[in-house]
Amino acid sequence: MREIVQVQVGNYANFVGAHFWNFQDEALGISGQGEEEWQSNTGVDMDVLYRVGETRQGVPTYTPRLLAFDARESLGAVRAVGSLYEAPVQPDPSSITTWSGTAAMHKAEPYKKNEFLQSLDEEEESWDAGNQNQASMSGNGYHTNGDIMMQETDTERARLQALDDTVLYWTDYQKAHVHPQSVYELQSVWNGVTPFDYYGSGQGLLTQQEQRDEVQDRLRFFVEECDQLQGFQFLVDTSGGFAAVASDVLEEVREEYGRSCCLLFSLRPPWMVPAVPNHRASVISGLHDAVSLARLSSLANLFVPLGLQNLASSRVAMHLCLNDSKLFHSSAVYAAAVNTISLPFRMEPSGPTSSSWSRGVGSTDLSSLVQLVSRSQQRRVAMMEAALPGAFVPGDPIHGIDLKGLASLTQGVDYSIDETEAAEALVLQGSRLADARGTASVTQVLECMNSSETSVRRGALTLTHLAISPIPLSIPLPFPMIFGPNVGQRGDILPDKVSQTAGRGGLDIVSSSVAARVSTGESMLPYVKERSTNFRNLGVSRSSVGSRILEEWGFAKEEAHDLGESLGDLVTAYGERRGDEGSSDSD
Amino acid sequence: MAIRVVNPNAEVLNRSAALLMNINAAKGLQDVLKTNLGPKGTIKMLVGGSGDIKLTKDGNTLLKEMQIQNPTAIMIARTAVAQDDISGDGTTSTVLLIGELMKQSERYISEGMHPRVLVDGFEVAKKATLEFLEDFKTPVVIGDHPDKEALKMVARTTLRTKVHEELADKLTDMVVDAVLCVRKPDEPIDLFMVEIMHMKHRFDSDTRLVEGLVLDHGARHPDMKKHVENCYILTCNVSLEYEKSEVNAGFFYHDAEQREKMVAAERRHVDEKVLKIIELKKKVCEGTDKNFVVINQKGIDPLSLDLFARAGIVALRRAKRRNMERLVLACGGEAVNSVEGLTPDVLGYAGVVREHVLGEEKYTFIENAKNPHSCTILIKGPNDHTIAQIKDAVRDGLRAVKNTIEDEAIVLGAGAFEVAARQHLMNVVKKTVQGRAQLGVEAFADALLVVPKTLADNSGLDTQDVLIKLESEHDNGNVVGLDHTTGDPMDPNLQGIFDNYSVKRQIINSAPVIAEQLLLVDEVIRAGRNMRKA
Repeated sequence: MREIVQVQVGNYANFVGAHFWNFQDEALGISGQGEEEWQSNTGVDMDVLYRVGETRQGVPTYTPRLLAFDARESLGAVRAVGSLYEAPVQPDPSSITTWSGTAAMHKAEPYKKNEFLQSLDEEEESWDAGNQNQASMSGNGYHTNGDIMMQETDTERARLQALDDTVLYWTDYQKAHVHPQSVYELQSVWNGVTPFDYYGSGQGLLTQQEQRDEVQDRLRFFVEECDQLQGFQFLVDTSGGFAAVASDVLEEVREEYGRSCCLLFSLRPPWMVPAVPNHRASVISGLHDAVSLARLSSLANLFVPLGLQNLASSRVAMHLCLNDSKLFHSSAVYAAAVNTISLPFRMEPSGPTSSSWSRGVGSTDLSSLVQLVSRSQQRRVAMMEAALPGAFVPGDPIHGIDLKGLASLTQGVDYSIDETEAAEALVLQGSRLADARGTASVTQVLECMNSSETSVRRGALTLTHLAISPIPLSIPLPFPMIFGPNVGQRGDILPDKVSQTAGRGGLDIVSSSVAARVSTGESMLPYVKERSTNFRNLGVSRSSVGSRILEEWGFAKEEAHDLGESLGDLVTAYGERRGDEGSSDSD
Repeated sequence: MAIRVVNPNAEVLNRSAALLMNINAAKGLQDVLKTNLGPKGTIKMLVGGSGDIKLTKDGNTLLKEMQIQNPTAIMIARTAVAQDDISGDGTTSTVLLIGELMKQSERYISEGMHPRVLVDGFEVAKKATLEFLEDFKTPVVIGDHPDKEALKMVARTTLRTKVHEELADKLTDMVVDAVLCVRKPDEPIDLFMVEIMHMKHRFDSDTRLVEGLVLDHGARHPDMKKHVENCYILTCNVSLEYEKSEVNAGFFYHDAEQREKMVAAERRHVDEKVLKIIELKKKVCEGTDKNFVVINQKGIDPLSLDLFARAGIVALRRAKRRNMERLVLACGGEAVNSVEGLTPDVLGYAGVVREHVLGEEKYTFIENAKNPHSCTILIKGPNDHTIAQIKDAVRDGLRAVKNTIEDEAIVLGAGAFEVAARQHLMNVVKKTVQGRAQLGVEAFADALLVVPKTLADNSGLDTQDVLIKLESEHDNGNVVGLDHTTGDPMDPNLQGIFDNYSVKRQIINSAPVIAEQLLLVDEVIRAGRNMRKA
């Protein structure tokens, strides 16, 4: 067993996480059935992310090893404890056993379950009923019941379109049931009510003993049962106060599980620059970014920032139709990238002979990969690139695999910088032969990779970990309708438009290939340098606004100095000599 | 106004409007919390939009459950919550007193009085009330053998306002015994040494005190015994799992054989540590009927567990950090960080170690220790919201006992103090004050009555009747409080109704401060929109 505990902090992180777990749920539904070879044995060990449990009624459960932090009232119609272990209790003041006096009930307006959640409930009920009558119905994935689906496609399509338009909470589309210990609501932060836009607003929420105990207890619940923990995978919403919450959680992890490896994906929804520039606001946002980077990158072993200002018009969206104002859309893209890059941790090790390669090569564990990419912790900030659908194998292996489709998901990297020493992890999942000629085998992809020089990016000295899995990303039904009109059912890029409608989702697209890469080349320099410079100019220098803000956030002069130092170290790690950094050093 | 020039969108409220806003907010919050107070208060069941249920009769919890947006109300709520953080109780009373001070002030201000004058009177009254409290309090002898009855009276008084009588009386005994168990002479009481553990059980709601520890996990090997008696306990913080060594920069194996060797060496290293523990077990247990239990803060991997199981040792991994400390206090011995040079001295003892399984949840009871200094309050309840409410009550009870021991004093409850303090202010203090500040003292004195008034109100009694009866008794020199069932005056001393001295003092200290600040506001400016979300 090589368990991973996933920790999601913040609303947007949970949006991404919900897609991530939908992917896993889909994979669970598919394994062991279906006509294609990889479906009978996916070579992926789901136990890495899931735990086996049992309810009080003795019903076995299989739930994500997940701890998710969010604000109060951010779960919509879904209760924090979920519905797997406990049926909802009807609120009834007469059932109170601890008080004999008068009782009053205050009831908030109940959230209405959307049609998609209702259909999930119905399906579960009919599945329970069907289970008793006929054992032939199988799987919890939609795609397995093909014939029934055909008749219902139209209503389904309408339902999904409605979902696409109305998603407000991440629980609106998450299929996977979670364990009652998984969701932690921050006591004093109310979704949409409490201002929670910058680092300082999340400070001190988990620092009191009672809350620290609660966080420790929940982490322990999942870690205690692990026989050989690989590490922690963090998804963090760094657009606001959750960055500070995440650093508190990371500190707890560091304190209790000191040597365990933490891989952190920093996530941020597309944003708009305010039309009217406001000095104070821009100081705050500059400091927020700098402080978040400094704190989180020093606590995690690898910090991977994902989040483009304009995702919809970026190169990643070449074959996608995205709407940047919908969190439901952008989070799906980031989730696909995170899912693919973390695939090697779940893959079963391949044997030494090439015959065992058919189920994939490049299985590794979280800490080895992080060690490699971070160049043994020297470069702890990595950029992420992805292609969806991605990396097609040309007819003639001589041409090499097309990795030009890989586009950055990290804002503010500079491709024009010559990379001299980079380290990267490249994962290709379910690659297709170009021109829709079918699935590429692992051997074909490997051949192609070897003949091309694409892994070495720009003639630099690069350490590469390559992982190839033949399994494509199965598109779950509640996936947003973001595939473009040229994308085929299996994720091929077709010369002609397949449909007239703009967006195609889970009903039309069964699966897609994905390519993803994290790397720590010098291209990252502008990203860290911008934050370091901002911090120096706004926070440490004479600008009183900035230093006062830092103080409000709980960083006294010395701590602020330390933050500046660690940002400076980051800049140096990416090849900038200390002297080049700017005019004068802070002292 | 300057602010309008700088920011035309700013909203400005002048003094009277600002005052009105503050008074209304304070009164509003008072109305919400009013019904909480006392043994006849109303319990509240809060149902969230997704059907989540919270149950509370505690002002502190209720404030945390409300999405308060009014800035004045936020300020009051923060003070009240801070009150709870400092002294563990008195949230509702603080909010009531602030509200009442504002209400009383409103009367005088509407008659044209300047808030500044009132505030001066408040200051005098506050100081005098605190001095009066010093005389009024009942000293409690603590020493090596504290007056258990006094402790119980305080705990019972607070618990009976949180849960029904029968349960309150049961919890009272538990929290007093628990605090006395963890108390060490000449050291501040560390309530964290009382573990609070909960178990959900549909039928069983038998909350009890375990003189020992209850851990929320069990042994992870099928062959380990579920029930052992007469046990040595080894408390340790030693990694007993194979961890891939984090070798620095680019360590690569030259060939597979070398890799195998490295792995084997690492494994051997772990096994050696396990064997050292087994050796100690053999040394102390061989030829006796004693058992051996290892409780480790770090991990134990399956191979190590297997070695332990074969040696007849029960081993638990990943124990809570706090439990390391508690275990040593409960069982004796000491926590070790290394297995080098282990001696029998480090071992603790427990009469029974047994595992209890409920679905996927496992509990390990470590009981019958000799002279334990740590204990566990095990809360059982049919559902989460009931458990949470009992847990809140237990915490308040523990704090009440701790406060009493630290204060070495208690205060007569049931409104007796408030009525007596008012008499003192009106009869003695007011006369020492010059001019209109007298009215401030009067307002303060009247505001103190909010406690007996609300108690009467919540009990369905006529507040005027009750106050007249109480005051005339006090005039005759009898210190009495309100009997909430009959509405007649009674002696809280005989009924055993006492409050914490430090809680009372804190209320009188903090409530006027906030009220004064709110009264002295002469302009409210709302400006600056949130730019980031715009």
